Amino acid sequence: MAAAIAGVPPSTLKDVLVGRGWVVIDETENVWLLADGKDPRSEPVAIPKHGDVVDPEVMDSVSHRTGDLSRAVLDAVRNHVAAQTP
Amino acid sequence: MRLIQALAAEHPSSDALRTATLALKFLVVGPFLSITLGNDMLTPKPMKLEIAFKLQCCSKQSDATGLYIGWCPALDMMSQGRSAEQARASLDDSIRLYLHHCLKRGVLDEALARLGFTTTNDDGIDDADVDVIHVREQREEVVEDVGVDCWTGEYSVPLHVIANLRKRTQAGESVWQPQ
Repeated sequence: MAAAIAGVPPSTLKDVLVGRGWVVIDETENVWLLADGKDPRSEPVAIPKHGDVVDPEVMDSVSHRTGDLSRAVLDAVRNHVAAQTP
Repeated sequence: MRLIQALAAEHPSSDALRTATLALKFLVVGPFLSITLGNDMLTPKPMKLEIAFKLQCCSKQSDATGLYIGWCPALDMMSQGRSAEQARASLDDSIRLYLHHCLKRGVLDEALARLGFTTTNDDGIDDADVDVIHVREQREEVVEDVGVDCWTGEYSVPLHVIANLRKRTQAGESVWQPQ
């Protein structure tokens, strides 16, 4: 699964989550922290800012924390990669 | 005092390097209590207390991307950077923001339980009512990998937040429900 979603920039991963109702609740120069905008008690997820792509291991870690969204997030990221591939 | 004992209890581990250790220590930030004399009055100043704890973290270079990956096994949290220092700073920010906002949103207990944290009172503590937080075992291959750099990060949370959480729990109020 991880290999299939390699090559996604950190900002794209963040945008995918934001597009599905997550909001950036905090950030530093190194990370964004997002949480489900519809659930005030959702567990936040940190997305790193550095790097041209999100490492597959980091992507797995993030996807495991997005609950029911995991599948949708992975699908959206795959679509993004497919759209970027000539 | 019991709360202080509970929070001060350090989880001993003979496998300290092999397990992600959450060592709860009691840290007093700033003057514990300062008293000002003047006009026949003793004016206590506010106290600021925080709970400090340590989490073992590791970083290594990824074979897949060449990026440096930072990992905190106890929180199962990962981050990344173009250098080991950047990965470490990124993971540090991730942990601090995560803990801060979990506390703020009232979901820290739930999040820790999901990660495998449990409470127990059978860890050699004299007071049978003292709770000691245990941390799940760390995956051993992490510290045995070549090229893995490990360190211990120190983090803290305000004591009053923990106290309020405990008070609510003791009052029979579920901390999982929205306030």
